[in-house]
Amino acid sequence: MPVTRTSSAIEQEPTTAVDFEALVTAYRPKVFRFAMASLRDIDGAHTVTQDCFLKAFHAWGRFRHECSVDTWLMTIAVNLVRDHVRNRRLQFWKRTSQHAEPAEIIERTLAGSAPTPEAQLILSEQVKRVWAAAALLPERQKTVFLLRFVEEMDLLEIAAATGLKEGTVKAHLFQALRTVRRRLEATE
Amino acid sequence: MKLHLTEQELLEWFAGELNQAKEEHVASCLDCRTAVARFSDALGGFRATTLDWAEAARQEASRRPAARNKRFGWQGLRLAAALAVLLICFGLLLTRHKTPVAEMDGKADDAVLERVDAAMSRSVPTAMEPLSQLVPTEQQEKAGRAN
Repeated sequence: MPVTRTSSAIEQEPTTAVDFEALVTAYRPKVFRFAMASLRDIDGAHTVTQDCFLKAFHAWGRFRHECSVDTWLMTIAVNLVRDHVRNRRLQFWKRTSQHAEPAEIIERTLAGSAPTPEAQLILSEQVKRVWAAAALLPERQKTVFLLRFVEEMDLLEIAAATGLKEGTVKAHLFQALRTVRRRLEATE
Repeated sequence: MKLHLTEQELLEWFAGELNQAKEEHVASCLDCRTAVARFSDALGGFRATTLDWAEAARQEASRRPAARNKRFGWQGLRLAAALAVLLICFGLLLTRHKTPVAEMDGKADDAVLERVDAAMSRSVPTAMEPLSQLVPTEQQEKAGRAN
């Protein structure tokens, strides 16, 4: 069986070790990205990603395919990030953010995305403020915000991944948006 | 007549809850269109930069274990060499100084033990020893003082 299969093929029935390797290859970037955006800690994100696939591997026999593999993996990742945040609260000496100000990447990524230098500057500043505001969101709001605006998951998928009701997800999302938007307006 | 979208309606818009009325209003209202575009651009920029940033971090994380092992290898080798040199020096120092010290200690111990033996043998009388031999007489004491 080939190792490199598409995500849709993996969704069917990855039962062997080779298939699981393909699943890891396909979803590792997404899981790492969510962990990294949530924790802003490269070691923490690395640990969460490894633990996520380890848990998935052990739990694969119990996975009933009631949701997509994607959503299932994100459910595991959301729980692991939550546990990691709780543990980190006790480690008060640990640096909370190794990549708190990715200003260079913001400048580089957004270069040329606005029609004028002035518009470019305004956009960069606004994106930095979204970064800062997102970092200060309460844990659940941040999770929902990241799943919606980074992973582009819809409300039902977020509800499945977080174990929250759709209405609760919506409430968290609205509150997160309100906070981020007000912080942008307050600093304009 | 409705002038602009309320904050709640704007939030619904950003959360993806669109409807024809909102879309028509945003299409016809410059202020609302600007507000929507500005926040959408900021959110879009946030997503794009998060993807790039996370990808850069992922690549860094995948390089890290090898770098750690390599660094530990060199450091471990240096540490082991330094430890070996220290142990050899310490061993040499010990073998040079240990024998004379031990000999001196042994001699001193022997002398002390001899003195203790002598004192003990003087102070402990043998069985049925006459008292006159144990307690010096006045004449003996005077003779001792004169000497």
